[in-house]
Amino acid sequence: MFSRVYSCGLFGLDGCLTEIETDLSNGLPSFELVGLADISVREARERVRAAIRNSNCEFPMQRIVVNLAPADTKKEGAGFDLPIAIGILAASGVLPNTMLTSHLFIGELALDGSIRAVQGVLCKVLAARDHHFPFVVVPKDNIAEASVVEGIQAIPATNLSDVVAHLCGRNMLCPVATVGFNSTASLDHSLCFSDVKGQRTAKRALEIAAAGGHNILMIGSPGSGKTMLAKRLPGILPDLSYEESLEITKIYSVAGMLPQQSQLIGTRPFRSPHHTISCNSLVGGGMRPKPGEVSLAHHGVLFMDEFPEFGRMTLDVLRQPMEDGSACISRVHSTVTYPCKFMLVAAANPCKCGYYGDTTRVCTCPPRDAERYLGRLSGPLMDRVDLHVQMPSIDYQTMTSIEEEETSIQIRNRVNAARSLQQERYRGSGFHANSQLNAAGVRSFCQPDIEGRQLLKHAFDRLGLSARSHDRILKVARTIADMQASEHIYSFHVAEAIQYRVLDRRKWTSALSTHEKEMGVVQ
Amino acid sequence: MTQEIIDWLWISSNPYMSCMKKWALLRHFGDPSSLKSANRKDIQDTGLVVQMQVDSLKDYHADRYVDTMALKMAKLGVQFIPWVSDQYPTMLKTLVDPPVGLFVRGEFQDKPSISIVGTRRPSGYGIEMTKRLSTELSRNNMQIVSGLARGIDTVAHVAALSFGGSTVAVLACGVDVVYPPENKQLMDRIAASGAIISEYPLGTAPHKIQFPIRNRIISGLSLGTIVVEAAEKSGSLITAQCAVEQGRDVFAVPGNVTSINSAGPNRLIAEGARMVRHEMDVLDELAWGVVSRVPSVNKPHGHKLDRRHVFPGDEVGRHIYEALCIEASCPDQLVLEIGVAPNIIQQTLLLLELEGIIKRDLSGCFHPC
Repeated sequence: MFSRVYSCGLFGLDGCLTEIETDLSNGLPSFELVGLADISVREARERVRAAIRNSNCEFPMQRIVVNLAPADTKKEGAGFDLPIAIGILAASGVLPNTMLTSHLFIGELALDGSIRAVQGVLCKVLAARDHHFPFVVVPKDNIAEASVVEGIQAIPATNLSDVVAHLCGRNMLCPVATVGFNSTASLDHSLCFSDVKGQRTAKRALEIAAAGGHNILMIGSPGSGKTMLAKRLPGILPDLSYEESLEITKIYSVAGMLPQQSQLIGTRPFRSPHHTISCNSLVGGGMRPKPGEVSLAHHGVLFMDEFPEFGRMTLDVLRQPMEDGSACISRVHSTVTYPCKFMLVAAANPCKCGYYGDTTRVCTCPPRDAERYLGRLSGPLMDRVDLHVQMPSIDYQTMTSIEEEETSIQIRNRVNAARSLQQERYRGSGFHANSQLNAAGVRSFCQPDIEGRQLLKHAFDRLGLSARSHDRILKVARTIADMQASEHIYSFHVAEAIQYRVLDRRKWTSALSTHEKEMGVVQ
Repeated sequence: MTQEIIDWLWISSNPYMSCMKKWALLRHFGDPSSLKSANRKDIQDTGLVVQMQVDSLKDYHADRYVDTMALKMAKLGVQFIPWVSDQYPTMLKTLVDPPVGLFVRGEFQDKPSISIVGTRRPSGYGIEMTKRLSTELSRNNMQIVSGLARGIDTVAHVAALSFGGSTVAVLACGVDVVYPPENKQLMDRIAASGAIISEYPLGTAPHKIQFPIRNRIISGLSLGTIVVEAAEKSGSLITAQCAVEQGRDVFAVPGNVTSINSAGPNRLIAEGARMVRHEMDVLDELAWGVVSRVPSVNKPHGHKLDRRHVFPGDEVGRHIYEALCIEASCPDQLVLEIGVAPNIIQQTLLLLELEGIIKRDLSGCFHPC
């Protein structure tokens, strides 16, 4: 006796259709599972056996061979338990074959026959929809994410006997209605820019970063509010589109981090890895590839606090994912890709003790160390950071002042306006925001007026800016102009943009050394 | 070198005993030659020294060491001035623990001096005040003494040299050792026109403990010590303390009470040090005949006062400049004080900086040039 049941595996973020063929034949009772199944799948044999028995069905005492096709791809996870059980019951004649071609089954079985939730259901249901299955049976606890997909009916299942009854036509289970997408519905209103007092310069810089998609470095002593502001950055980023939300939800589903009962994720993620994080956890990997922090920050913010403390290698592995917008994890048999388009927010103390330049505490670092600490920040990663902003420590008076601060909603409205300007401008060109422009793009779109060009040259000469900063300044100036809805880039846009390149100045040396230079003493 | 001087060199180079200990031994035995020829038992019986120190005194290799040192000194042009020499600085003779001998690179002029000391991380204000005081005091024929450290010391030396005055640097290491490394050129310039002196023999590395000890020489050489800027725990306050103990004048430049760098001088003033607004405050205290009775701050200085006229229509620029003249600030403070949007503040700050009217320091704060 033979049966064929359909299920779905996971490869990266995509579901891949898996056929579960079951063959029963006479002979010594045995249960073989073939098709490059890994250990968690092979253990299904015991779970299926117990689940079938405890669901008041008979487990056939025959020679059972179950094949997970295609036979040359690795199968992982416990999501195949349910289809395997269905396959065995169908092959032994307990269930009719009629509905098996129109249904796809996903689920892990408990020993008592109840169906447990699995990871990556959203991706699998999308694959089922793409393969034109009208119905998909998913564990009840996964129904929220499954119900988001249009074009397919998702049926929640609690235990094996219910599914059997459904397939026998005795007691039909109802599919759940598809839920629409509302991006503002699940916004986190608990974090707002108005929670942070003062820091107007930093807030302005973050607004520029959000408007143009620029990466930003915040420099400030402990307690100046770097983390607090970074956490609130997702709240002023432009509204999520349906596609972006779908991608984020898929990643979190695969990582098993989707909150219970949640449908599509409507807020941009905020990830803050510690600087001792391993390369694998950061970019993704492990024996069974899982998305890393960069993918968990997809379409959101990756916050790297204590940026100078990150290891050189850790920073190096970030380079390619940032360049490509996706993290490529290679294994012996296959390569898995997870997308990772994130905004990088780096934070650093001005020196090792953290208090250089602080008006309230004395810096205990040896004199030269304070300069060298941030001078060490260089390399491909810093090359991708367009904005540097220094944040003063907040004094008590500012903190307790009752002056009104702008809310995130007000700021986000401006950011949305600036972004739509950019979308309009770059339609069809492949860019989506000012930060993505390449050299040619900068030449076409970011040329300032003649005063602006003169100002730029004057600044380069006088402040000793490096060549690296040239294009970056223009991109930021473009964003600043967009924020004022100005098509032309004027000199004052350029002037402000130059102020956000503090680390590029040749004179990243103290006022004292400058004095020494003037007095003729060479460094 | 005579044998007597070589013996003084020998006792001077001994790193195992403090200055006071050496004087105790010298008082007991009379002079270095007698100390050198004394036998072990006699030295031990004095009860003044421990075993290790006795060993160092009876070390047979000492002669060779001293001869090598003498040769090196001759090659580098380093002079040795022992206590008994008539070139020994008169001001040091009154100390309770004067150096047994001094190593000198360059030409030491025994003329009236003022010491200028301060923090290694001065603010723009501290640098400006040091520059002014050093220049004007040099103009009034004062020799400037300092420690060649980063920060205020360096500014003081450089300003004196630029004026063409004479300056002396007292080191906490051998006169052939360059510390801090970036002051190598400065050291050579001072050696060429002034003097680099040290109590420590050639090749001695700068150890933490040697700095407070050499501070007494800085204050001892001069009529008075000026502390320009110093945080609460700064080493320059030790120099001020030495000056007090030596009966010399202590001067301090006041600063904003909220500024960390002015905490030291402000405290000194509260405890009785003389407040210094300009060089006249120093010269008057010392009853010094001055070159000109007009203090430098009232002379038209060229740019500082004229800058206020550089903003024909730019009100924000004027406001910012005036705010910065009162206190160095960062952009955020200016936003709150002047009440203008952050982007306008940033633009104006850049323009002012490009004009050379204001300057930006490492921590992001601006101050007028």
